[in-house]
Amino acid sequence: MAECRIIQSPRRLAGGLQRADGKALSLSQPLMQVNPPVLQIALPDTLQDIPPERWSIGAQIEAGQPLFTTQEGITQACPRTATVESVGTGKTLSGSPTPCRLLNLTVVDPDPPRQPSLTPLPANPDGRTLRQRAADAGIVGLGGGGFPAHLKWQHRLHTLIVNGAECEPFLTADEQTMRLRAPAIWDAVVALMSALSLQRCVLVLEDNKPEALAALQAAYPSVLDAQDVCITVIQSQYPSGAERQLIWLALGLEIATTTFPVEHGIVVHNPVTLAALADALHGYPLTDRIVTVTGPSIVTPGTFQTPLGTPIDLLLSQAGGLRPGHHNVFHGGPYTGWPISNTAAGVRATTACLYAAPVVSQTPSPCIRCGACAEVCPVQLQPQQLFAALTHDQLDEALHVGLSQCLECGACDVVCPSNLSLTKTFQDGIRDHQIQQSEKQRADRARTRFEARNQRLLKRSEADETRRAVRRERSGSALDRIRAARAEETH
Amino acid sequence: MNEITIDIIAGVIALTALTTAGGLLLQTLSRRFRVDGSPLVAQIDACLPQTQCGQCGHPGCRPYAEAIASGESINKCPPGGRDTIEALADLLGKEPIPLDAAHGTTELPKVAVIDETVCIGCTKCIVACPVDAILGAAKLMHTVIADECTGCDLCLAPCPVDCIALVPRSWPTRDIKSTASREVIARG
Repeated sequence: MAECRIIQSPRRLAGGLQRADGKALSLSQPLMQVNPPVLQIALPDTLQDIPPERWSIGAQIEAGQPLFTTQEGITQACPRTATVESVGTGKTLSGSPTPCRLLNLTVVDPDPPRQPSLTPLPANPDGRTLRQRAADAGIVGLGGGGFPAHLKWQHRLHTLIVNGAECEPFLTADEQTMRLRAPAIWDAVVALMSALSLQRCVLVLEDNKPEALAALQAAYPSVLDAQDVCITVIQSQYPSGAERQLIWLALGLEIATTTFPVEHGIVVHNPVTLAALADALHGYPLTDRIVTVTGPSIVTPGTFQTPLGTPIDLLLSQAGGLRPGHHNVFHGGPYTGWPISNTAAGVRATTACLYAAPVVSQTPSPCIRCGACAEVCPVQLQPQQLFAALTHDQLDEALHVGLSQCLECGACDVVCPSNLSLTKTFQDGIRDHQIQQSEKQRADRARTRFEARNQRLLKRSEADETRRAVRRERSGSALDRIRAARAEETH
Repeated sequence: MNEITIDIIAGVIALTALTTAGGLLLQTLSRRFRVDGSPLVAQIDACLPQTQCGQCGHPGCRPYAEAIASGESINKCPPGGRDTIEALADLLGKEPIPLDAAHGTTELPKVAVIDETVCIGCTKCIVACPVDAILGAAKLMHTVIADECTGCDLCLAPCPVDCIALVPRSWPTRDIKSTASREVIARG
């Protein structure tokens, strides 16, 4: 039996949080399958102008059949055999003011696709085949990013990092996947390493996941013996799973925030994405994802194998529902999640966790400059300075002190004794900055167009002027001729 | 001729040659790198929103920038609003002053939309658009290139059938500055 090298990372994050992880809450239950009677699929922003006639009401769509393809080439498969109930517009998960196009399906057969809807790929596919398959099977970053996997593989790559850190408290989807689907994860690693001719693979785990580590070790395939593959164990600390932080912990390389890791030949994937990729190699497109439903307000927290588009309400009721009282349900974990305003909306590919907590009324008080936020900031920013600049509308000053480096990890919010919403302020600041940039580009374009138009008008009026001058001259000489002729006649 | 005279003559010739060469060099350089107009105008123009709406009383942003450079007041640009006035005040070392209400009020950026069922294809709006953001030909339907439209409203008046409307932009835009308190979310 092959043995995988296990390395203890000598590095640790400066700052960050080490808190009770609350992961046991949802790991005490086995993984459960959710069988929703209805599905609600939200169409991506770029497909908002698809005519509703595209899907005829009442038509049956088989499980695994393509529903739509995005601009990036990602094809979304129908999660279950279902009939089209309606195509309409409605509210998104976040309750954003712009309505979203929704596809409502009634499930006919609650079982997941038993027959592969794509042809299974032979062992060791080449890079092109693999990219095409990932796009056709709808493989996007299932850690929560949702970035199309095949687009990352367009770069020249040498290192694959499997991000099994799952550093945020309460989240267990990655851990559960590594425990239950370790062979699939290794299959995907083998396929990726040969297809993209990678030189090494590092699987990174936090030291609070001994069971996942044991499962991965037990499933380690001997094919990888000849390759540079290892498991790196890092200290449990939030946010060690942030992409740039993870690369530093695993390899000791710092990636500038102005560049992407793929530009340096490093590709980072979540283990859930890799498990989905392994299914895709066998012909099964992405139809389900694992969701952790947890938090102090959930009656029986657990992990759920959930078809995409399952209404959030239904998923919450599968976990025993919410305790009595007022609760907030967050999309994502307790630190990085954002509140869900419409719980009737469907689960997305990026829904790794639903976290519910009681509503606590916290009144923010003024910043006392205690510096607790600066101590936990994983990128060594001074959040209190950023906050002061942004609350005084000084975006330039905030950018000067490093606003664009902020990970939006929320560590500063957790330790702030004044209950300030620091991260929300930073997110708004980053958004304002992006809008400012795009308006500047727009203004530059308008200036160019305005100047080009003025040039054109000037040129045209000059041309008109010369034409008029020529005509005047010509008609002038004609008049002279007539005058001369008359003068001759009178003689 | 003694040696001293030769030295003096050689020195004079050498110096004359050097100064002539330097003068010629300076002249060519100044011709080659000549900047048309004042660089201040370009800096002022960069602060303006480039809506080209003419609400300031000038036919576009560049002419207003030229007017500011020669002493006109900086509070005549409603689309730019407070941001533009502050940026101009910073640039010119002046105090920010409130917007001159005689020129209009700051509104959220808009975009023109042509009701294509009503449009008669008269091309009058195409002529009026300062940034060539309307596409069409005589007796053919016109349409606005939303991405290039600055929302200046100059196309509204010439339209004989009133088929153009200004609507809010569908992409995210910056808010008009307010001091509204920020939302606080408790996470338990």
